Amino acid sequence: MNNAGNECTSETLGDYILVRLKGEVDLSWSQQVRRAILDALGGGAKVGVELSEVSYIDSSGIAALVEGFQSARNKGRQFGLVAASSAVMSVLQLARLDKVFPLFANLEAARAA
Amino acid sequence: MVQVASLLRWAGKHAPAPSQWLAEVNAELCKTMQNGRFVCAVVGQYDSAARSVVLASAGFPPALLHDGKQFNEYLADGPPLGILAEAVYDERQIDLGEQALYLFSDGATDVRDAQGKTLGGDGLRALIAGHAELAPEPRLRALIGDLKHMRLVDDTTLLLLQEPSGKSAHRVLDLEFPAQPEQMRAVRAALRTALDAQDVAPELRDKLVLAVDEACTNIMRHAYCGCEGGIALHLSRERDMLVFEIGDQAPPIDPERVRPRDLAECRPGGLGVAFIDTLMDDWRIEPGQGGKGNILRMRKRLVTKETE
Repeated sequence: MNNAGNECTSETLGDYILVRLKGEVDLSWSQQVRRAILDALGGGAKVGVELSEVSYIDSSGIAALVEGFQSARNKGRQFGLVAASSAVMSVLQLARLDKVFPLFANLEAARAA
Repeated sequence: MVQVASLLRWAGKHAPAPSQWLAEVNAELCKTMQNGRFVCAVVGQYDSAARSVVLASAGFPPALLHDGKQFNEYLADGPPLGILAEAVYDERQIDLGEQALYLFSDGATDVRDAQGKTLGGDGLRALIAGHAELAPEPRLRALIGDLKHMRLVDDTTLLLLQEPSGKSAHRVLDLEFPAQPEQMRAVRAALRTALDAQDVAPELRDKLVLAVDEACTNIMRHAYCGCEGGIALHLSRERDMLVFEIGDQAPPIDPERVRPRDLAECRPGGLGVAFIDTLMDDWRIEPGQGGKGNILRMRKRLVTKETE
């Protein structure tokens, strides 16, 4: 999906699904992001959300990530955030979630975990 | 004291007339206060649209109204609380206009100088007059600084009520847009540009943009409940204070129900108000003009200075 520079794509890499987000994650499409993350968690794979090209995220975007994290935990599935941009990190810190999510510097680290 | 503060809050919950408010608390306290103890208190309500204050004072030191040159003094309206169950309290209305209203506990006038001499009412007036040229917040800080340089002998509380003069305030941004999430990208971009023009550091700018975004999307979700409507965003600056006003035409909401949640909880919803509460110096929600819609006012000081 693509909306004015916003993108949400899912890529399967063996036993790992990477949901890649780009652009400004806000209320106008955070439901799509939420759906993509929950869909990725529907299978048996580990799931990561790649955030290096997210220039903005609001509380509805953070809520989609939290829901993914909680859903993964309930299913005993691995879930992490990959290469979070400084814009994402500053909102995670604000929400005191930077110590809650497993954070990985890059895809290799996330897959190896 | 904690009990009295709770009692005052409880009795004031439904905004009774200040005289009635004191009478209720007094009657309650007279049932329990013993050993000659009593409480001095002042209660009041402020109508910011009419700039009108209604006060009632139970043995509290006189309120001072200062127009920048002269003082008007308002003495207590009845005895301290907890002494006389049948005490009756008057109340008074004060048209604030651009004047400054000072309320202070007796600790403010009981401070001692190096020779042990108390400051007194006249001394406090002289301090206030000496800082009259300062804007309200730096003036209050300067007064507290003065008092701290002397010897405090009691708890000291100082309250200043004054509207910003507006003389040095200027509009930085005015935007009106439909209450639709798709609008927010452009709103954020316009706000970033406006804040850049005010030399707001990028890190703070992005946080302020987040707070405004959260406020607007909360209006869309919880005030308009997804229905059609409009949002007006005004940003103004007075000295180093940024004031964000976000208005809607949605049915009036109960401001008491808009509370930040504890960020220590890990759950998906309710983050927006917590962000606003963390990022802004203060915020409040009021009914719109003529009781139509709601206005959210959020303020953020750009730099902290001891005095101006």
